[in-house]
Amino acid sequence: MPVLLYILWLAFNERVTVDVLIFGVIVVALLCYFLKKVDLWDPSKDMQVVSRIPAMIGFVIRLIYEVFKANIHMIMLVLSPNPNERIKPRIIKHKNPIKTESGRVALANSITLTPGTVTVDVGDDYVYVHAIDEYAQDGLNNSVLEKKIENMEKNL
Amino acid sequence: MEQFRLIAGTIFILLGLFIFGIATLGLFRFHYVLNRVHVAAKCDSLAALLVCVGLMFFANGIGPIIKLLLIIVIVWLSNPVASHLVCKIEVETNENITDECEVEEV
Repeated sequence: MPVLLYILWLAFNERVTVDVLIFGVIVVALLCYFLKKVDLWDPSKDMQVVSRIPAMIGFVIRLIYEVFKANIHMIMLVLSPNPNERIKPRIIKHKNPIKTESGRVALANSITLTPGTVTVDVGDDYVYVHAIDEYAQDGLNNSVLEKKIENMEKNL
Repeated sequence: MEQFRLIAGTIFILLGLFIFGIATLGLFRFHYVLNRVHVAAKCDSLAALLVCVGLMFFANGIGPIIKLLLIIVIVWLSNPVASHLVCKIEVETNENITDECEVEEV
């Protein structure tokens, strides 16, 4: 976390001089103290986050691929002669196996970004999903992103 | 090198603008809120990504590139949440929702 904040500070300054470096240390120290006080940062969990970075990169690459697929699907639909007749919207209750809160947020956001589905509501062990046709429903039932999030959780 | 940057950046920005255009068109072509949200949620996030990648080619140094990356991260986190909220309000307040779509065990 301190390393991340320091990189952010350097990026926002866009130049590396002595006063910027010294001020950076002070600002990052103050921020870390504050974050620890309000329980937003737990130093013991930092190493776990670092160990999950490869899984996260794999997840992000897959997510970008899914977004491209979703957009091609959407563009086809929008440019077709009568889009309102080609869709069959429905709301589905979908079970989700994700336990942690951040994992659930990631799942809900990635469902919204994958082809043909938008998350409507998130509960403890289910998500309500608005699907635009049956094809989208199939994609939801064997989604790769869900497995990837589960794998990330196992390392926790 | 300069020319490569110019051409690559222009291609990415034009692609992004094209997708923004499709998203706006799609908003008018669908007739119901929940169908419109699909277009808004997906196309906007990809278009923002493409425009930011295009701008990265024009950036001098690493600083602006990291800032553009942060913009992408924030857009990708906030865009699904915003559309999710729109959907939730619509589903909770619309009493005749079954007219518009099949609802499974709500």
